[in-house]
Amino acid sequence: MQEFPRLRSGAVGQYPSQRLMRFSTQVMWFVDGSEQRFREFSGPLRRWVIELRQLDEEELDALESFFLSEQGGYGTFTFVDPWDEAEYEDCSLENPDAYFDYTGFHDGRTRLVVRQNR
Amino acid sequence: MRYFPQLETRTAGQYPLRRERQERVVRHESLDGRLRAYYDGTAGRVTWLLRYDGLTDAERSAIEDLFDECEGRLLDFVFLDPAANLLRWSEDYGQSYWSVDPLLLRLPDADDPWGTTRASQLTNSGIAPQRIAQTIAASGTQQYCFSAYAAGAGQTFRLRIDSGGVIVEREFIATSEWARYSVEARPGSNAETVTFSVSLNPGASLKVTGLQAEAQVAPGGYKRTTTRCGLYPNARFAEDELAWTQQAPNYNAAEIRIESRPY
Repeated sequence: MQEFPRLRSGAVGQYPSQRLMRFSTQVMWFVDGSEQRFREFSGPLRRWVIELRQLDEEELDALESFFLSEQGGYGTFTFVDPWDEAEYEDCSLENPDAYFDYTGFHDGRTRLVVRQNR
Repeated sequence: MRYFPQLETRTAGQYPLRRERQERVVRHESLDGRLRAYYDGTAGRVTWLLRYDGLTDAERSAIEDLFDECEGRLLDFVFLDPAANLLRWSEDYGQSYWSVDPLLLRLPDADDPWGTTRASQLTNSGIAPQRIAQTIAASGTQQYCFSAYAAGAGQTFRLRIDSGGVIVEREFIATSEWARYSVEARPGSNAETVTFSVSLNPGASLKVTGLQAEAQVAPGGYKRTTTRCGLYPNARFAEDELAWTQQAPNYNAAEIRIESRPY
């Protein structure tokens, strides 16, 4: 399985970095004011926003190639959480579209959102 | 064929330049968070956002004339992505896009400048120069730069750009260390094909990788390619309106969107 590309520094992400944890809870409210809650997910799902700047052309190109080889949000890959180095084997890109900015020489920018699958 | 014009800097873009990729994936997320995805392989689009500033009147006219000729979004033109490699399979010279002369031996999986094994060892076993070449369907009137990484102590090789009988080549002597070599040219011929090649003298043997052709005067960062390249023969303006702002005499600005299916 593919791995999310690392930068030249060996890192996956840059500051500021965003990690989200998502649960899904169904809530039913009754007329007497009581409520019942159901867990829809068997466990949390994580999401990471990878916002990158000052990439050189090769790094930016590697990320674009990765986006294309993943066919947008279709393919799956292994992602190493940049916060704690935990490995998540089944992840995919959340964004079906992506931009790749050539803002200046060695100043490429992009933003990819990775989601953990179940 | 119509071409998106290059500026006086001999490239089509300025910083900042944005390339957007759109892939169509139908996704269905179940209540329990499981995801089913279906990829629509033919619906992908690529869009460029070109922000121009400080263009001369001549540069503005060239773009405006093309817009006029294309009648906005109606007709297509050839777009050479200024931030892409125009060659396919930049590291795999066994692919059919490459033509390899018969006496040029090619051994893949040699060590490369990035510490992996994506280079090829090329050896000319003949008595005449032998070439490895790729031809693209683009105009000889555009500016090109052809670059390659090479290593081989004292080995002589040439990088060559030719179009419509006009040949521009540069000879190099490689060193044992990896280095990047380049040749730039605007062949000026009216031919609709341009060929980029690496030529080895008889007996020469060197490692080569990362062949890249770009529509500009100097090599940019290396972009590895496989099936796709930066040549878009059916690009179109994404809008029917083209707005220019003149900030001073002979100083024009505009934001232009171009779109194409990926190739």
